[in-house]
Amino acid sequence: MCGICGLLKLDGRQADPNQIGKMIATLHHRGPDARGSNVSGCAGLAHARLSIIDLQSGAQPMSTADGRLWITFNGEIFNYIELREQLLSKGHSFATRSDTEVILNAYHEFGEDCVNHFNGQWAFAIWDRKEQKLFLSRDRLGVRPLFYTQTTDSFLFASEIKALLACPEVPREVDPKGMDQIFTFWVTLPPRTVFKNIFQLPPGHSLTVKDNCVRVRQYWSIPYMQDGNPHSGNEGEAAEELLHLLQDATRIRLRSDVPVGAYLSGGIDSTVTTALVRKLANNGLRSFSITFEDSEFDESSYQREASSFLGTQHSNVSCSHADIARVFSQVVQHTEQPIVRTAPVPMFLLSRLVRESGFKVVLTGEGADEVLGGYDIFKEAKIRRFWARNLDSKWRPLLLKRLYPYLQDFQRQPAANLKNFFRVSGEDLESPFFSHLPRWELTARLKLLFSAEFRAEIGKYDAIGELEGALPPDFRSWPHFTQGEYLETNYFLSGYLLSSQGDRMAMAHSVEARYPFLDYRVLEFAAKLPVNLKMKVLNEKYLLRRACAGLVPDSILRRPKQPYRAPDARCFFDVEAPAYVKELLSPYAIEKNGIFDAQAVSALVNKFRAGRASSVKDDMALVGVLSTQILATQFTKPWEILSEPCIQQTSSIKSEAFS
Amino acid sequence: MHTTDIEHQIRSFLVDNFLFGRSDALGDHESLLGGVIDSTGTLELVVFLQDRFGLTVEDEDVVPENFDSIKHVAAYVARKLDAKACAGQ
Repeated sequence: MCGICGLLKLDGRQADPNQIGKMIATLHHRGPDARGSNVSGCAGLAHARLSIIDLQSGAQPMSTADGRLWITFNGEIFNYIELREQLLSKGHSFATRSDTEVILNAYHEFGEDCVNHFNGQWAFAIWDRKEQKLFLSRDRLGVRPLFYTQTTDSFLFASEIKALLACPEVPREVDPKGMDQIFTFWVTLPPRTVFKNIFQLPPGHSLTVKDNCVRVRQYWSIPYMQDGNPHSGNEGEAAEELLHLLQDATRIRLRSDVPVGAYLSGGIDSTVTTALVRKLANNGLRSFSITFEDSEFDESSYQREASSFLGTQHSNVSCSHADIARVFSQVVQHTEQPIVRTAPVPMFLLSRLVRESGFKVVLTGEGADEVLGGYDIFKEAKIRRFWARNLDSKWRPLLLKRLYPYLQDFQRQPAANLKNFFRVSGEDLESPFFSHLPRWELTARLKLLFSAEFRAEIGKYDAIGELEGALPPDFRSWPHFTQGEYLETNYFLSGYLLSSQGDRMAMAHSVEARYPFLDYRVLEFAAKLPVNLKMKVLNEKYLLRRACAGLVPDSILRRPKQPYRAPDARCFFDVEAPAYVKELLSPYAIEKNGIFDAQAVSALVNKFRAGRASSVKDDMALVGVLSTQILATQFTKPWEILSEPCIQQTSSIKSEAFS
Repeated sequence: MHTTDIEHQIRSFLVDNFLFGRSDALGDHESLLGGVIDSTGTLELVVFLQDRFGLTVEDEDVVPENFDSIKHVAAYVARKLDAKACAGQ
């Protein structure tokens, strides 16, 4: 896992090695083991390396023997061994054992279609000297990030936005439409980011620059409803096939020349991936988790049970309110977009634990909820639709109580309240966004905090309308459950979970996460499954539970779902909260950045100080304002501070051996 | 208590508590439930009404007919206050 960047001079002049050097220096945290760059005429590529495969000869940028193709690559091609064999049989030769060289030869053999042969998580750039063509690609789900921008004379790309901002000619301006999207969906709609004129290559897309022309092409999408050919086997066969696929997805994700650990949250998903690793690599497997001082969020009893059952050597890092407040500003420097929840923070602390324990690679259970029907938002939509068919029913809305058993405030409410909150109008029922409207409408209320000037810049822009225009043409005819899955996987997974909470938090401490549930074969299999095998009535991840019975403790298999959450805004109002919180929320700082209305923010802050804030919306508002303030303030300052590795020790690390 | 006064107090509470002080964002007839007020917010409003006006709000009263706009809430409070006054006479 690594950091990459580069540039192409569109005026044909020589690329400046110093500029590339400055860009790659900002990505030190992604690749602290080695740094390299290459300038070949008008193109320059650079690489910060985290050595995982072929430690001796895998240095980058790498070229073909004839010097025609140059590559800088972040990620892993897990099926590189099989591809290498295939390419050898076609007459290609290899000087290294790395997956990087497999990409180069595959590109030589298959051209831009090479990406269809890859099973992995990648972002890479290839410069073809002969064709004078730059080719960029990002993996199917966007596990690895890739941003780009264009100035008057250059095309620039990088793993993180901060590397682009290292170039003085790249403007540092917040994009009001990007902000409007974040404060609706929690994510921006690719290719947009929250910075003007800085774009992300959408997941499953490639990009070429040739003859000063930039072309973006989609090479893959999740094949929901694509061939109208649902899974033909019975339930038992489907469970068997799923288990087989997960085993193979895990097997190829253990390919590494350094030891691999596992995140073990105590939920079913990471317990399954850890169990699969345990079956394949029967040595002292290390597992890692977060514990919370706040019992509302803590899952340590399940973590101990899973670790004991699987015989892993387990370590955990404790996360307190004070920890969240203390590292939040560092976290936002890495997310590079505002966040409305603090949930990425513990992931930041967890990756530090992993790194300090001597590990660079972990397998995690991320993605199972999206791929196999685990999210409450799917269940919520199902109940709301069911109730809408008989709005006068006295007992149908009571099903809402079955939602969110872990939310204490929610459970205390009279059914009448829930009925009002979740009530369904005829208009909503017709919406292709039925499943997500409650979440989006709640988040969109936070836009009331925007200043009049910022609202004027947004104007009549309609984020939901833009999303509607980007949907597949036949989306409205899809099953409702599939519509929800598409929105969650296509946007929320890649734009938030795999970035703000995934890659960015792991790579902040030079740790690579690998996701067996997100193997594209698992996705393609799951996309064809009948909906009732994912959520049977209201039993989430039904097929996964059936497939993995025996692999994981029964208590974990049967435990009610508790999504990963962290304490939110109240962390910033404890007596020991760091000074930056008060400074950035002050009317002076709010007015200086101009995004929010100072009076409105003061009203919110006072509500928290008085202990009167209790709603989810207030929590999201405060976290959203603070993260935006951090981002807006940081990006107007030099980014060099980010190139320093984080050495601050803030949390206690405990090691427990249950085996 | 005059209905206009009740409305004013309710409006002030809603604007301060749910709209970050943005009074321009709330119309007299705007739907409150599921929009202005989220699910825990309904409880906050109920507690406010009980404290401020000395009422007891029953669970079954928390329905759109009583809570869907400032006008509805003010009318509900006025009715409850009238009933209380009659009972006290």
